[in-house]
Amino acid sequence: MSPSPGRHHLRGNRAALACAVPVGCLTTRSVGHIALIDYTSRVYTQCIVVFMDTRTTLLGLLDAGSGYGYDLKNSWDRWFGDTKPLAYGQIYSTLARLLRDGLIEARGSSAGAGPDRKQYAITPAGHDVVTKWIFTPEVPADSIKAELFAKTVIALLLHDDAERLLDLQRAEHLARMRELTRAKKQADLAGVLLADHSLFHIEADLRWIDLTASRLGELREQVVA
Amino acid sequence: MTKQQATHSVCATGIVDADIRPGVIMSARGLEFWFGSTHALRGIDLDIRRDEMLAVMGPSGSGKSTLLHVLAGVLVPSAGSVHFDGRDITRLGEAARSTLRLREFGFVFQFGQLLPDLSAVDNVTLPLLMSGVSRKQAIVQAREILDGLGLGDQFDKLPAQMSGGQAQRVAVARALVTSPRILFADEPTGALDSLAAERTMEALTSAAKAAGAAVVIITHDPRTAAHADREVMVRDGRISSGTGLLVDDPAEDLDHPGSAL
Repeated sequence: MSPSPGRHHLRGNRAALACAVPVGCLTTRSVGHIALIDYTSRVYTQCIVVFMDTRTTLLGLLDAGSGYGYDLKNSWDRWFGDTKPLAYGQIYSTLARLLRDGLIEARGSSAGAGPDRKQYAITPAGHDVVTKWIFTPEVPADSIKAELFAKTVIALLLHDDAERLLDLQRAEHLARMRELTRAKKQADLAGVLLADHSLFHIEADLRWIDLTASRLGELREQVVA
Repeated sequence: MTKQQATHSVCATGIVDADIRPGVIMSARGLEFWFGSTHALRGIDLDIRRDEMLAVMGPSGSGKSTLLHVLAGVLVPSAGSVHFDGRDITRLGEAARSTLRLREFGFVFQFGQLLPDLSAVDNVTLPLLMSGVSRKQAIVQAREILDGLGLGDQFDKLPAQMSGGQAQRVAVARALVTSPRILFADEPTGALDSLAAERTMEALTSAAKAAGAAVVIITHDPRTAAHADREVMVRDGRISSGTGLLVDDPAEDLDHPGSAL
């Protein structure tokens, strides 16, 4: 029993890696810093992914306010430093790529100034990328907490509708649970057990979503403080 | 029929039902309910398809149980309508609504619903006896439905002699023995462990499907809701997300927060 095919499993490199790469072909080196564990594909293929979209999260922080690399590093450390520490070098290399892609612009710097002397601001194209990222639900998987947390914080920083992002994600999770519940009816006992494992993990995410939704007021106060 | 066209029908009471879509067995529009100064329902619109299981989810105090009771004709809303089978049931008197609940609806609750001094078979015969079915025929039907739910060895057991899961399946049998059009379930797995909850939902889903009954299930448990065809979230007396209303074209998706006409 494998995850049902469809738009979710082709969305983004992470999802494609998680569900499309044959068993045995997943190595730490082949997926960079992402650590994957794969299960027997005979009944169900899934991966535990520790992943966070650094690029878009940084873009989101810039969407909340322009700043120097130093300011971004401080913001990153404040919200996401425990989840995924980033060095200055990684921040500046990401900023260079965002600049190259037209998602941010450099302001008020003299020609030849190094990246640490440039002030960065988001472009309209960059804002569109952030908005789409926030309101595109994650593929329900064993652990997407870092990504969901990042989106929630960025949405609050941008005064966006964080309740809506959580509602969208909840609907996605429930849809996935329906798929798994239906699939269990045709599965053997091993398949049922593995599907139940996924169902419980997805349910844990849902409990987090519900609790976060009820705590948005408090979180909002902290984020905008 | 396009989304914009309305279907009008005039039933025996002379009430014209506007905009009832094909396949929809119950339509609620603009439901409001006040408990004293508490505004429990704040303008709910909801369609229920005749062959579906709809999960109504939401935090405690969100109004979901109140919604179920209004849909089932137990409570009369402060405003709004509930159309079922060509009638606005909110305009019926208590006696008529009571008959409707007995003949057209079935109910499963979280606990405390089986009469403790009656056996499984006798509990299941109750709604049939109240509908005028002979005791002999009622027992035959009760045994048949209990057997179909894997409770053939529990016929003469009292509720206290059964496990929680078995008792809930007897409750499901009782709710479906009259072949209701809609089964209303309020947290039917709330008091059960994971495996019993799973078995109860499997029994409820297959028995309801076999009986051709729509199911409206209130639950806070996502694994229970996962058995449903779709879900709506109720928050602060409103539908905050999910597909509340159904459209003619199944490909059209209304799945966005605060679905509206």
